[in-house]
Amino acid sequence: MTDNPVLSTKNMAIGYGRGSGINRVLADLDLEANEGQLIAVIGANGTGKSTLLKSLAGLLPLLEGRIRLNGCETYKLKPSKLATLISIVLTERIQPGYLTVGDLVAMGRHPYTDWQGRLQKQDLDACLKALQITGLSHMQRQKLHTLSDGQLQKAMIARALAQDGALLLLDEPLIHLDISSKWEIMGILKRMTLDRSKTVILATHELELSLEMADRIWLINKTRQLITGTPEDMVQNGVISETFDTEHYKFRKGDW
Amino acid sequence: MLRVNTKLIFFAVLCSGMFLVSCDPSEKQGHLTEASISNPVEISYAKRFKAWKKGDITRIVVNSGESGEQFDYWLIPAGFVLPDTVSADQIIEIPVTKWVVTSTTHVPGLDLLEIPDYLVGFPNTNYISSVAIRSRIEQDLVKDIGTVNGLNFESLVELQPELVISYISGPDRSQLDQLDQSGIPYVLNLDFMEESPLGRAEWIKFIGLLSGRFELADSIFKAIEQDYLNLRNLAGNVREKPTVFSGLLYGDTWFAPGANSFAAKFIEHAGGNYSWDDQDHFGSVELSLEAVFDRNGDTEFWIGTGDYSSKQALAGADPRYSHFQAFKTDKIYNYHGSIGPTGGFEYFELGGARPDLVLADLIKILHPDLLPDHQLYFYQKLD
Amino acid sequence: MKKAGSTLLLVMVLTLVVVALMDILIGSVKIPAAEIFTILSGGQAQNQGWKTIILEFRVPKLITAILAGSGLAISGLIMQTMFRNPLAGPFVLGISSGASLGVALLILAGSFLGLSFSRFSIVGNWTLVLAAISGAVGVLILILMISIRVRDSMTLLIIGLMVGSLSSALVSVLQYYSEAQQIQAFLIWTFGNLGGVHGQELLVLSIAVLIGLTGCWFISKPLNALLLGEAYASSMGVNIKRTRLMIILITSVLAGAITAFCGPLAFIGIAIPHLARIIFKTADHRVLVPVSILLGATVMTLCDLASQIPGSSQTLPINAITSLIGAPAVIAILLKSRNLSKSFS
Repeated sequence: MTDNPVLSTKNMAIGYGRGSGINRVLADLDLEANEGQLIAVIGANGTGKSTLLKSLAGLLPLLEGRIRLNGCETYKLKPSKLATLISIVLTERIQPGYLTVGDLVAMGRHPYTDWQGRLQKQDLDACLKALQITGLSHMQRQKLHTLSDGQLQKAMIARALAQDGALLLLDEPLIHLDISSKWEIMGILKRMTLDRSKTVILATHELELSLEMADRIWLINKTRQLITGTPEDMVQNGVISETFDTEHYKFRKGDW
Repeated sequence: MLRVNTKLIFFAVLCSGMFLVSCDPSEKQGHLTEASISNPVEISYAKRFKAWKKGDITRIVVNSGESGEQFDYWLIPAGFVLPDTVSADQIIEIPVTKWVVTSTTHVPGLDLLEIPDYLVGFPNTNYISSVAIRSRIEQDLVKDIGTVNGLNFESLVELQPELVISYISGPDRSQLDQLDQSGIPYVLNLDFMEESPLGRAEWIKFIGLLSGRFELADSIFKAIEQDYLNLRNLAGNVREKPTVFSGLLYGDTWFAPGANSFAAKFIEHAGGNYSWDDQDHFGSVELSLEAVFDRNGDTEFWIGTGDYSSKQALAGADPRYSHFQAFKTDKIYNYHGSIGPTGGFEYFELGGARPDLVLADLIKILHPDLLPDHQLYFYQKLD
Repeated sequence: MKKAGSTLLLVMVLTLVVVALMDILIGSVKIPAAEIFTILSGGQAQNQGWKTIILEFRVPKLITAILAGSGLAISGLIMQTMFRNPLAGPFVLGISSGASLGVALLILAGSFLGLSFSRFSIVGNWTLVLAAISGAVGVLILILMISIRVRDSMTLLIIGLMVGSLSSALVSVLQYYSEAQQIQAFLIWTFGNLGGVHGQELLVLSIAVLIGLTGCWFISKPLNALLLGEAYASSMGVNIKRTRLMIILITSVLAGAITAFCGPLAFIGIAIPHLARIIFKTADHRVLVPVSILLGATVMTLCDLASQIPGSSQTLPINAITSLIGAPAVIAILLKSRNLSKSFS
């Protein structure tokens, strides 16, 4: 892990609305994410995890402040350029519409292909790699509507991987999955940060998994403050227990 | 002494006799039934109405043809009371001198019978072309009592005419219901349902009966009839009958008059050969453009082009019209030859009452040398 | 799949050619095939009338059918993609209602404005076309203004439908105040008519449709991205506002021009994209665009053929045919493929 912040925010305030109807969800955010970090954003429901992620992805306009990616202010970047830096996985269900797994993953190459969307060798390679990492290589020709929830989620991640951005943002990627799928996907994400030096930020309810796998935790507490730290620190200084109303929390660092 | 008694008795008998005779109206009217009004008024061509007279009383029965509806009108002198044995749809005191009519075809009757000042109201007076009536309209002596959907009943009631001449077309009777409610007497004029030109013109007698000018109406009709028959004979003797087609394209469908329509009959009577005489219809027939072009692409005359009064307008509406021979050789005629100051086509107003003029026009178009002195009145060539 | 795809494509092209030929060969007047080929190849015709029927009536009608069918199919496709709604079609933005309003104002209110003392008159064709285009453009501008302020496409869809309803309501009011003949003239316009477009008009229609079709071809890639929704598309670099603008403009040009020249043609725009998806089992617009063009042209030409009731001198209005034939056909196909959820969840 190096110390070049892939992502940094300054004075960022996020929320909804305009004029007198503004709803500030979080403010005064000075955040940093480094290359190869797996960051879990946790907090109680409704505290703004999704809002944060969408704002970082550029889907929601910032109320205040700015975001820098690899040193560049994001608002100065063209959408097509931004797309080569960030890719996302959202909670939105997509309409399967006769798409195959291969089709879906290939969509990730959108920022790189020509106006007709033709795939060159490097695009095909990126797709194959993505499929490999997510363990979907044998399912390329399968139609999306035949996949299980877990497989579909992996396909969405594969698509984001194929997009090959430095930063991968995921909003609740583990919802609706069974326990083994959850571990599997977290494993994939962890491997991406280790092998490929990607930076992954995911918002999730999964406290245990986050504490086990993440390099850093961004926790939004009940008073809408965002506290960052390593999982160990967060547990030891009692923030976790406080926010989640649990007893003394034990964890074990896994070997990966 | 005896002489005085005899005179007295004679006088008494005379009185009682007179009393009996004059003071028993029910006795007298007990004889008054439908059957007793038995002198038929001569109606030679019209099929939609019949009339009978007896003394001062006239009975008119209007029938609507296929639907079988009949309307029974009794025309009585003022003050007369009809017995209960008579069932009438309307009882009208004649002569009527304050009319409302509802179609321009009702207007020529008033003009010809020299009673234009009897008209007090009309819906949408812009349609009227008659000079005499237009001048009354300008002077506000004829009220416009129209609305978008027909009569403005409030204005009608305010006007209090003695009679309304209305008509029915189709099954909708809502106008009649409202007329009933308004309490104003009305009769139905179904001249447009007649199937022969003279039959339609004969309805002048209807107006004549209602206005107490039957003799005038009768003699006018006789003149029109004579004229018409003369013209028809004249045209009947021609050797060559030019072919004529009619109608217009709407969307992709051509609407042409059927074989039994007025248009077709007029053309035949004028010594022409109506192209679609195999389509047995009173109204219009819908044809495909191809079929019409196939048959009439080369036809000599095109008579009747609705609202289009110039070749440019025709071609502007649809360029396919310009492929017709009649278009290329300038033999298209339409009835826009006489238009009133407010835009009404006089053909629609007067054409029904003066079939002789219409026929003369058509003969002039098809066989100009037969009527060298006649000037086209209703019809005009498209330029 | 690729091989099967190109064979299928070839079959479709051939079908279109065959159907087109049939449309010229068959009509209410019987003309021998040999004659027809002679005329088409520029030779001397036996019967001058036949030459006129073929070259001046049937051929322009065929071209109109092809243009209208493909144009409507494509604009239906992009509407369904943009709104991710299987019921969307070329007219959901209210464009066609706007065109109808323009025509209604002309025909029904024309007499108020002293334009013509009409009883039956369908005022000169170019006037009619201009009235329709003005109405369509009016609605378009309204929709564009709204689309700039509205982030969510669903909102735009609903607003489009409302604008359409509003236009229709205004037309009803106009009809209420009109005479029977004017209403009839307007009614006839709403039946749709492929036969009235010739010469200059046909040229203008061709240009409009070609612009629309080409535009669609160029935005195939962002259209594909939109399949995943605006959030994902945006994250992949698609300029949503600009793409939406392009889609709206293309639809307006296509739907507006076609409605202006041919009246409001129902159904084709909604049904053809579904047929295309079901036949080729794909959502890829690089396939769906050309396929919809071919399919739309073919089906519309078939409907034109059917409306002529070969051999009879009667005809049926085109709108009746597209719905009468089209609706049951789509129902049958859907039932066969079990459900629509494979293409839209």
